[in-house]
Amino acid sequence: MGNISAQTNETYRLNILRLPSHTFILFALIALVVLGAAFASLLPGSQLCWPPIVLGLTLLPLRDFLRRPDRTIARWRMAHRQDEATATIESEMASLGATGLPAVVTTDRPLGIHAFGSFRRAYLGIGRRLAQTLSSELKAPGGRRRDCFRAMLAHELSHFLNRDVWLMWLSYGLLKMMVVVMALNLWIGVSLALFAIGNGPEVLRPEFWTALSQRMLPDAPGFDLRPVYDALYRQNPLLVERLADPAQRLENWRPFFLYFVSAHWPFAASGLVLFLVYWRRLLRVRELYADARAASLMGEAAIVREAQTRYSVLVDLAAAAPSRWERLRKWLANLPTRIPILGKPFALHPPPRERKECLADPVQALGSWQWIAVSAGLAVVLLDFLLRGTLTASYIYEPGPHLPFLAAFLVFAIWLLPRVAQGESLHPGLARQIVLIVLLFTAIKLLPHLADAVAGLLILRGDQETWGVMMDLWAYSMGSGFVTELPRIVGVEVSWPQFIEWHVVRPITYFALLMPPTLIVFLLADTFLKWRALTWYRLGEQVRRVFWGTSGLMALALALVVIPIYNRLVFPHVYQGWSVATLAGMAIAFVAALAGGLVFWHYDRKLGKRCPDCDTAVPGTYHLGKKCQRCKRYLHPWLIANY
Amino acid sequence: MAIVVRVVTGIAWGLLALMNVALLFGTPILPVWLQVLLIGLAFIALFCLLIRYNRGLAQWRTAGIIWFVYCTLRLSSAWLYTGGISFLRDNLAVFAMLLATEAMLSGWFALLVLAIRRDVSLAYIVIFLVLGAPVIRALVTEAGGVLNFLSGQAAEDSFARFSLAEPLVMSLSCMGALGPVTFLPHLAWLLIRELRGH
Repeated sequence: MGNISAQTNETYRLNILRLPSHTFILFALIALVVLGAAFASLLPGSQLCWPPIVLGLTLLPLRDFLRRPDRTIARWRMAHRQDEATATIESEMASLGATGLPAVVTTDRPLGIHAFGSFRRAYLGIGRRLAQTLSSELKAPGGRRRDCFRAMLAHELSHFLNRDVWLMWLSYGLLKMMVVVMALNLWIGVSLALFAIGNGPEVLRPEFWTALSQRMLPDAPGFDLRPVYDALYRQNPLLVERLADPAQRLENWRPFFLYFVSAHWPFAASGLVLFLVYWRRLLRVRELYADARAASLMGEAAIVREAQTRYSVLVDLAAAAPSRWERLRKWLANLPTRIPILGKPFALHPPPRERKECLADPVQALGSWQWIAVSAGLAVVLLDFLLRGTLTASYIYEPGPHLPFLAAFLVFAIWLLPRVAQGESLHPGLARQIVLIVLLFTAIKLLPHLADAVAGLLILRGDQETWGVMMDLWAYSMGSGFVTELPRIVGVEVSWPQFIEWHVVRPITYFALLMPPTLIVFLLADTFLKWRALTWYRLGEQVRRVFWGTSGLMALALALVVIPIYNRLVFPHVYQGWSVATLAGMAIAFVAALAGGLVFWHYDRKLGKRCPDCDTAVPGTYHLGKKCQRCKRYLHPWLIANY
Repeated sequence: MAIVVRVVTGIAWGLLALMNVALLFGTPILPVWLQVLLIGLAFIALFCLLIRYNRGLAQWRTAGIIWFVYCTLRLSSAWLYTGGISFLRDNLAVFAMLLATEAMLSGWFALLVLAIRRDVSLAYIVIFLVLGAPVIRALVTEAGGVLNFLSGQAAEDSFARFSLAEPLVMSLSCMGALGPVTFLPHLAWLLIRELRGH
């Protein structure tokens, strides 16, 4: 904290490293989309066998993540060498004052400095040439140039201290395994369909089963497998007749094709968006946080910027001519960034200007309010697509509106925290920003529902019979064609006005009229309480627990009280009556909120606006860099960056 | 210990070579029980050698080479069997088949030690699922229909023909069984290593 005293009122920077990070928000959004669909199979009403789905989508990414360090070491042929360069780098990292230092592993291949590892294993991979250069520079007498090289090490060390290495590779594992599992699912589905269509004319005949019985047990004249065929026929006569008819092979393929496309496109689209937008953003954001941590370790921001420039020159000098395979990999990795206008969000590293701006104003690492609203909104829409696809919609009915509501509240509450910690007041800036974030999020959430509404208008004004058949075909594709006949539901069993009311009007009412004001009120209340809790100076860093407590209680009230009431108001045909579990949940949330409110009021009176050192009253609200007027000590010094 | 290993390896190599030579020349004249005994001894020697060289076998390239050798030997066996020359048919074709059987055992052993020594469980499952479906479809087509496939009635004598589906079925069935079985032990080992921090 030595440098804080040197800062003027204008240069106080928020210590974002003590607050939940943007990297964590991005990881949580990726996990929400990938695991949201899997964990929904655990909820009541699910008709899916949950163990293979839940275990598959948790154990496979975990395995991929735990294997990552060994694979990186093997790929780059790295090893921990007992040489002078390694010893110098390790001792220099130890001098930075961090605990749990990474093991330095070097390679003869041209490589920059690369931080990698898992939960409890940390490695710093360095090319031998670069390691020798670093070592010789670090052995030089102290000075600006030496500090510059120390800052390079501090930046890499920061990735471990920020714990972004495991956030990055765990999210990568989640995405990779989602793609692998869905690709295998598609391949097996297509293969089975081809097998059923190709061999149906032979197998789905009674003579086949009789002949098979004779060939299997020729000495047992009474043995006949014909009942197997009869059972198959009784279960689905139309399908058996269709598959048995060689003339209908092409027609039989159509429902399968429709099913495969409608079942897998949400996963393909989600995988692409999460990989290209969210994961790449995570890579960029973690660099900004590493810069902030490096500046904190070095006690200066300028040296980190100098180190960045020097490092890029060093890596260019150390780089050997890449192989054809490496060139291809690099070209493919940079391909999305070449898209005109839209290429910028796909970059793997932040531009130097952004890094400079974030060092000057660390809150910028959290991105703009537009970004956070769009990222939360898009994640929720992607999850909606996954849960409404033909692979999932007919088996999973929950969690309904809980996920968008809670995800939005928690993401925005975490994102707003650094602004609250800076001492920004609700009136008028922060309140306006909360309203805008919620409105933009709502607009994105409503996009698929508005598309449904446009389709609904077209249906009501157009040929309802044709549209009815199309909707039925969608329902038909859910059973991958294994139904007795094309069901006539829409327009026959369910009237068009009813269908549009349930699937278009009511969801739009819910998400356009109920969700935004509720989210705004809850976020304003949450922000106000945190802002108020910031004046409990005696708590010091412990005030972070109050932040989590307020957001947690709010989320609990939202999940167990508000959303169940809204669900029953808007979707009475889905959520009928009040179960004991729902009422118990409401009671628990109500009691918890009441108790939390009383505790908050008590501590506000006891701890609020008093200096922790001289115990005198500190008037006014908190702002970054605020001091006690009597003893001139900083209030919440842990929130002020030391660079 | 090293001397014992060297001696046992030498004996195993010698026994394997001797038994194979004996079977090459003795098949038409030796009684069946003696042939079975010789084959048994050859397999014991082979098993000793497989254990001795398990480290080298636990590699993808080794498993691939062994299954390629199996393909070559089975192809040779089928070609010699249908060649029309009695010596080739009675001696060399049977001998090639014996060597192919040994290669098959070595191939399975290589897949087993690879699955034990390295975490290839997911790769095994993926290969099994990706290749399994087209291989079964090819087998059904090759057999001339589902009925022939299920009842095991091939279009031709199995000794006289060879198709690529044969080693694929044998290696894939091994992978399909070993992949799920070795997944959790390897994951547990990864977690133990992670908890130890190295």
